Amino acid sequence: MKTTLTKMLGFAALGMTLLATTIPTWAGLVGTQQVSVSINQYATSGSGSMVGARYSADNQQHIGCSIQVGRYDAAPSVSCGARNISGAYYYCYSLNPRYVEAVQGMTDSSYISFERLNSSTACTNLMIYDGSDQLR
Amino acid sequence: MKANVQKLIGTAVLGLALWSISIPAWAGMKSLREVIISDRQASGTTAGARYSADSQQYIGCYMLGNSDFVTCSARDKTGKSFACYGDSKFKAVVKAITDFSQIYFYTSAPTDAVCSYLEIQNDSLYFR
Repeated sequence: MKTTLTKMLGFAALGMTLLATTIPTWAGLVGTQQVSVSINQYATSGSGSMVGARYSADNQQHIGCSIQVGRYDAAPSVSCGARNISGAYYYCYSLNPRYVEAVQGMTDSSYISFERLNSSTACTNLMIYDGSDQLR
Repeated sequence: MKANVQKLIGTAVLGLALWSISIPAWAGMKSLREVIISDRQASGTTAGARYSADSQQYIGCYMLGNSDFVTCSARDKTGKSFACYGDSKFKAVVKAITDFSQIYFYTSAPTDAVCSYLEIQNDSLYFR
């Protein structure tokens, strides 16, 4: 009797555990894209979500932006870079204060997109998107 | 005997199931650099310092509401500290610090208290 009870309790616990493991407790729109880098004849662009990169299955992808300033610089600058699943890395750089402001708004679930001309490392566009669909 | 074996198997399966919950299922490139300090510079990630094995490390910057200056400071695992301050230009950089930042700052000389450079990198690499 005791053995049967122990078995029943064990299976009940196992069932609850497996149920909790397999059934997500959330839904909602999810758009956490992995890192993409594309190059055409004129321009290079990089995009992807922080969550998509960090929680990808490979160990290559990452995406992010930095802000830096030196003591004798007139203003801070920004650079954004992305490495895709193949290991290709591209970045751009800018002194545009609007881009600085955009990077200040980054969170751990931001979607980042940037562009530059192939002839220059200067950013020609930068977008930081924060939304519920970017949450893990 | 049979009941014991069943119990053992049940416990093992249960243990594996619980283990699978506690182990994160993600990979991705990451780099949780801990705090490094030399005679005139400091660097490290916020997550690397916070989740280091010791109770010494930290790295961060603060702004005062009634001042244009910011101060960045860090301590490594041996207890060695380093700090410098910067003017209003540095505020824009400090505003970008998150819980997945790498912070890097230096002065021009070991005795100099004014920051010569400050960089904040926010990257998926620095997620915990």
